Amino acid sequence: MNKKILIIDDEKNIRLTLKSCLDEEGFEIDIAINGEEALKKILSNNYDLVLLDLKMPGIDGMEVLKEIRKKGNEVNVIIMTAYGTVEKAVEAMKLGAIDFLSKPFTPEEIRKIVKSVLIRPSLKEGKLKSFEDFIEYAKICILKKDYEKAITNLIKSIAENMDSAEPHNLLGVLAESKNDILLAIKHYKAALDLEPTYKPAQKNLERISQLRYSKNGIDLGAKENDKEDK
Amino acid sequence: MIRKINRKDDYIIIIGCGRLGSHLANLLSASKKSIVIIDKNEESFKRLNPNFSGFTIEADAIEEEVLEEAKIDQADVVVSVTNDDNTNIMIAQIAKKIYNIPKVIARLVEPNKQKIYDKLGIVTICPTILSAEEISKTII
Repeated sequence: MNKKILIIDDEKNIRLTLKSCLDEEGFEIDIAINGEEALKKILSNNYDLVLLDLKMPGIDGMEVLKEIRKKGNEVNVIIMTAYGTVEKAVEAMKLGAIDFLSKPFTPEEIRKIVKSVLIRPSLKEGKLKSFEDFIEYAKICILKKDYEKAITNLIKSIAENMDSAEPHNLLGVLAESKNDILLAIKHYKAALDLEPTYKPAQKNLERISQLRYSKNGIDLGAKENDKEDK
Repeated sequence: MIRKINRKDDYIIIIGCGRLGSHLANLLSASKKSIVIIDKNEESFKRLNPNFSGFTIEADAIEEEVLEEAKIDQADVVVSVTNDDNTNIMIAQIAKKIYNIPKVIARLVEPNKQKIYDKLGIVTICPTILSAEEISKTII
């Protein structure tokens, strides 16, 4: 049976982009144009995957996520964000969403992330072989809030591919979720040492630095100026 | 002559959503291409069809950060069609030299500048020359 995917975005052009890209792959696609419609559809259907835009008028993406989790719905969620806005990564992770797609996205990016999420249920502990297997299994563990097992699998993935930045970035996110900011910075820096252009780690490091700024009493205005100066 | 692009998954960045840029974006979007169109003026995006499927970015594409936001590193084609030759030439050069984009096309407003583009190895389309040629064909 075809996998069922729900696309939630208030912008028509983005819904069309996603739909045309995923239609070609043979998925069954459903659409919601705002948070209210999304909630109704998620709670009354069995989707394999939901593509959720964070920024929507009315009920926004994060509220949709909170609400469905509160009602015990464990559907897979990929969060779509504007470029570089990963501030909510840790909050989303705690709500069981670990996959982010930053706009604009290429057809290849969409297919890759959708495929990697849909393949997760078939992964079994003890039968993991490749770097990708360990990474994806670690993500399952994160989603089940078994952070220790996630860390173990991420370390195993590093053993399979020592050059990849992704596991270090995820270890950083996990450290952040435990409020160990210094350890998180170490992991993000390690990711960047391996792949200096790895954007998630760049953004995380930027964000975490801003976090520390605000703790030191830097106000929001200063943060905006920082952005403009770059 | 520009080779026809046939690959299904092409990721195309268009700079400038004026009459030319928007028309091009509408045509490519109708052919199921993945489009990102950048323009300084949000109003310009009103020229896009209601069925345009793609992304719009309201920003000045001369800033490299904006091109990065558009994920220029993953682009197969970059087309710069603003009404300013200097902007087009600069963006075309960034796309070609820094990001090694396989296909870069720039609009040429002033036909006299053709030689500069040729020296830089950038493919240009000059609407003025094309129109003149078409008009002369109908006369001769």
